[in-house]
Amino acid sequence: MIASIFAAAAAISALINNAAPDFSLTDQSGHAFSLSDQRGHVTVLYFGYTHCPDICPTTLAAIASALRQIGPNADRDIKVAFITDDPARDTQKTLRDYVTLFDPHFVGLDGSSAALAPIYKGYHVWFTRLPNQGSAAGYLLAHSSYIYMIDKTGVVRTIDDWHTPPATIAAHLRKLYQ
Amino acid sequence: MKRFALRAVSMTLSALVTLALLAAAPSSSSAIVVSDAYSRPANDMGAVFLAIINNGRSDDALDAARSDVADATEVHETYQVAGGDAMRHIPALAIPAGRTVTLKSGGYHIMLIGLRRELRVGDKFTIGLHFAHAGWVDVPVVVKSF
Repeated sequence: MIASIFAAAAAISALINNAAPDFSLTDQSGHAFSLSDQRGHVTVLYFGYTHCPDICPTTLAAIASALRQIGPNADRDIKVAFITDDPARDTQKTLRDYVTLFDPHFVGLDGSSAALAPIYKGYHVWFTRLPNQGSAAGYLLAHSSYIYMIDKTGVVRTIDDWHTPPATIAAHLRKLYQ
Repeated sequence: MKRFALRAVSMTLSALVTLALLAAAPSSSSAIVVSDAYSRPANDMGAVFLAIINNGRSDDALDAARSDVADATEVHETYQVAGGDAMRHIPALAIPAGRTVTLKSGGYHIMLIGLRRELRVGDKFTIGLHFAHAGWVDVPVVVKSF
């Protein structure tokens, strides 16, 4: 298990200082969202699912807090996109209702399984459905939880894990934002 | 007669003191104290994080939870697996005598399943925690970001 954790971390680290894999998905308002259209903006990607009670909301709250620390316009200048790991349950409406709880400018991205599969692969996103152990929650996912920070030219510069405190996230984003 | 009256006064006083103590510390029972309960913004599934202190001499266990804000309320644990984090339902969480058990992100949490209303920063609600020995303890929860 330790070896595979290191292997997964090594694959993710290899993205740093390389062009972020481009993609095109649909945002919570039904508009196309392409990574290549975000040039000129710092972009933050996070993969998760709206039924996630712990790590996804903690991470999104941390990113929102980091943006508030950076400045009043940071959440407009820095594009934060939440990409679903659970397209079977997450709809445009659930994504909109969910991501905007954390920041009104956050974007929730959805797409067909065929559109999402190469994105998961490109960003080394891992997840699996967990068997239901008598919980009322329905199925839950085990999933990787990284915050991908992409600079204004479309290059991945920093990848933080979800334990990263807001002040550190803010420090990493400031370097790309200024 | 006088003795009876004194006893009655003394009992009333002790009842008042008990009531005052209960009012001052709404999240405590005889041995279990729950503090620092908070939740994150959520609209479908939520989680409550808090600290449980067992001041008693006997071990206890958190074995059920309830809340008016959700269809179901369960104790869950986030744990690390190869490649990421997973979660499981915990039927009973041991609260050993003299110890504090902290429910925090990435570990144990009270999961709110099927929220009946959105939880936004600043909202407040109450959950009930059931302990095998201490019984039900009501806990005030505040929704916060960071």
